[in-house]
Amino acid sequence: MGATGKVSAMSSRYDVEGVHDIDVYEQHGGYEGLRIALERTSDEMIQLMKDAGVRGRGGAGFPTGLKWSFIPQDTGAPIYLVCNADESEPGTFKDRPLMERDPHQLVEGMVCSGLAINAEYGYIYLRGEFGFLSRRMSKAIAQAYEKGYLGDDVMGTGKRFHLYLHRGAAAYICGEETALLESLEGRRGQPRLRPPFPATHGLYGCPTTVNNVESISSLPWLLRNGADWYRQWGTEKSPGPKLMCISGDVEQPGNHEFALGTPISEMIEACGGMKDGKELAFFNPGGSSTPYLTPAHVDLPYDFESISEAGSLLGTGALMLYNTDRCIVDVTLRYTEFYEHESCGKCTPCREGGYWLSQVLRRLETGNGRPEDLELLQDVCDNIFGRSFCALGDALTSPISSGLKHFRAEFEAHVTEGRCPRGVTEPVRREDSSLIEQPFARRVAQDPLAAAGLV
Amino acid sequence: MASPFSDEIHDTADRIVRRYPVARSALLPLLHLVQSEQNHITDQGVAFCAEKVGLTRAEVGAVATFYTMYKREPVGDWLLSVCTNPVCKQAGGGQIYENYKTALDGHRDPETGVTVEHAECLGICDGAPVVQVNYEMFGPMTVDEGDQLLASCRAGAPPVSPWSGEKPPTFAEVERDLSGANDAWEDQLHRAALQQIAFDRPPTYRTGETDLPVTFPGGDPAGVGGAAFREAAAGTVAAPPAPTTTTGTPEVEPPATPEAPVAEADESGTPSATIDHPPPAAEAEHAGEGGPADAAPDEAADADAEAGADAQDTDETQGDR
Repeated sequence: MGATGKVSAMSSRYDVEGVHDIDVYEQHGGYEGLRIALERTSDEMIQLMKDAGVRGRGGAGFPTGLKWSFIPQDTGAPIYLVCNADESEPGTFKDRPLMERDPHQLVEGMVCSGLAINAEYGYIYLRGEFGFLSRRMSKAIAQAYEKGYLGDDVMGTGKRFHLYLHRGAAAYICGEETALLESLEGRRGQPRLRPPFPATHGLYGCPTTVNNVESISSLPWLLRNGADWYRQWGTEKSPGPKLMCISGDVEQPGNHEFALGTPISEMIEACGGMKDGKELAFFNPGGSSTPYLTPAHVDLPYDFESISEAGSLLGTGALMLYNTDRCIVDVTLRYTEFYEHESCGKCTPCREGGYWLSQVLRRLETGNGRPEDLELLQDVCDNIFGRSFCALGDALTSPISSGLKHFRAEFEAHVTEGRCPRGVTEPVRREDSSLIEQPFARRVAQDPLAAAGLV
Repeated sequence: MASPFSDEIHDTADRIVRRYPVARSALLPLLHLVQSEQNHITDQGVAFCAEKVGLTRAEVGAVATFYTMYKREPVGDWLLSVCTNPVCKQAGGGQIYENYKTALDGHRDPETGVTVEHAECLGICDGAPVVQVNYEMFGPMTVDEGDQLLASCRAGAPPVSPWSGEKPPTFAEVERDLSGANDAWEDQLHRAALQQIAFDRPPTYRTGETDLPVTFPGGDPAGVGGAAFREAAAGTVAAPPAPTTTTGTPEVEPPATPEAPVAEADESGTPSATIDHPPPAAEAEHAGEGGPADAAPDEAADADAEAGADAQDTDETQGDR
């Protein structure tokens, strides 16, 4: 068991003035990891990643070294390294600060990771709405080319690595790796059926690995400092530092680095405690896709295993804290509307389920809920969970299912009182809410074919 | 009908396409590029992209309508995106958005073209509530400061972002940047694309909107992969280049003739019937010459809003499979 608490590892250059410029970056240990990587074999670097126990930082927590070892090396096809920089999970803001404040960290990580899996071509898929980052990363990559860290002859070794910066156009689903690949190929961002997995049939049908910004950026640190350096923090199964995004009703929301295994309560304290001394009511431990937890869980160590045992997920490290003024139904409704908007439309349960679930939640929040609505919500969720291609469908159900599990009385109060008991939303009377009363009947009535008696 | 796009745009688009081993990968960047010219995605823009990457307009329409950043209504110089996810909404974002809609009596100021939209989480929750001006971050702010931000945009002078320390570029400028047109290492990528298609098993191009890996070896006829098609047809496909042999900018030949890809497809046992869109023969040749004046053919007039709708249908069918 390593140390816990606040650490300064991957974020240690964040406050260095001008480190986004390559000259300053080099003065602070920049591209030293790459020099070491050029002397190592691919197997050595994959083993290093395994020894350090790096787990994917994009949400799933899959061991990165293991993922890399799945890449077939003898297919005669180019191998691709794709960086998932499409950060859009609600509550998550760790990749953006990393690229904003220390962009060369990612560029160096890309070259090193490319060498580790013998990929000569890398793609960074950057979220489109990051206008400033688009300029900053573009400049960083251009500088790295000028200095010979990228290109056909990386630092005169004859090794090759080319880097593309590809901007998306706003679609949350493109954070899912196969949807990201579809988008990178110029298609609608809809997830692919697996198998085949991207490791064998990824970008352009070639062997591909897709990794998160934070996972990729960790390799240069490991090359310089070794696996033990990484393992000095965290737990046996969840080692290392984690960039945390702490937001909501705390005094100083922000991007902080903690060792995995640090108790959640300690993280809240480090952010100055709950805002205005109000009480914590509920929180998401790792973004909107991770089931809610309650104040009873704040002393849990923040690592993959403990959070999972408590019935939630570590996700992206996005801790979103809500105080007792907040209405769980309102927050859940906003999350559900988000997923409804972001569903790619490929699978029926997610596409239709999101639509209906928001209707029912809106009905509850505006004071028009019915007693049977709670069962209805759970029933629809049960029919979505596990029945979609990708995890978006599952994510859609998690705030609702966990909300009903931990805070059922709140949902019931919306029905019995006929309004939001916390007064977050003004009640809407029935005549205004005809749309949410019988949406299907209304849709049929508005259908021109139905009007013409054709269906 | 004259092309609504300048020679420079045609040239920029061709150069973006040549960066990728498979032309279709350039579609999202190209849509940003045409949007930077016309402040939204028009039928002409869809036709332009379709021509450049060798797709039907329906296929391009399907992609353009999928992504939120491709606007179907004209946007003025300033686009304000207000985050309304829970953390921002509760911190005042919900009120800021309501005020904006009241101030503009809708989403668009008819005088200045300033446009307001609600956005999903913008990835900056420690700045809640957040408003973006042309994807430049502003926040945290009070509701009053939010109102002032809108007023400054309507006056044509938004302030410097506290996050980037820069004044937001105009909508056209930011969209051009997102197309990658300003990326300084473009020549390197042109070389990289040619290297990728020369592998024993080169990047493949799936035809149609299906999950089936129906592919053409060597990329696709419209992109640099077209070179491999021609060489394969002539029986001159070479082994992958040694790492050091590709120096200097290789000459990029004009795109494939229609015969070449078909011949290759037959030889490799891939049924040529799987091409469910016309090979971009004549149009692509134009593109290679860099900026024809008649990029939008006559049919562009009926290029139509239906393109998107058609494609939607295709996708629905696919989703239910």
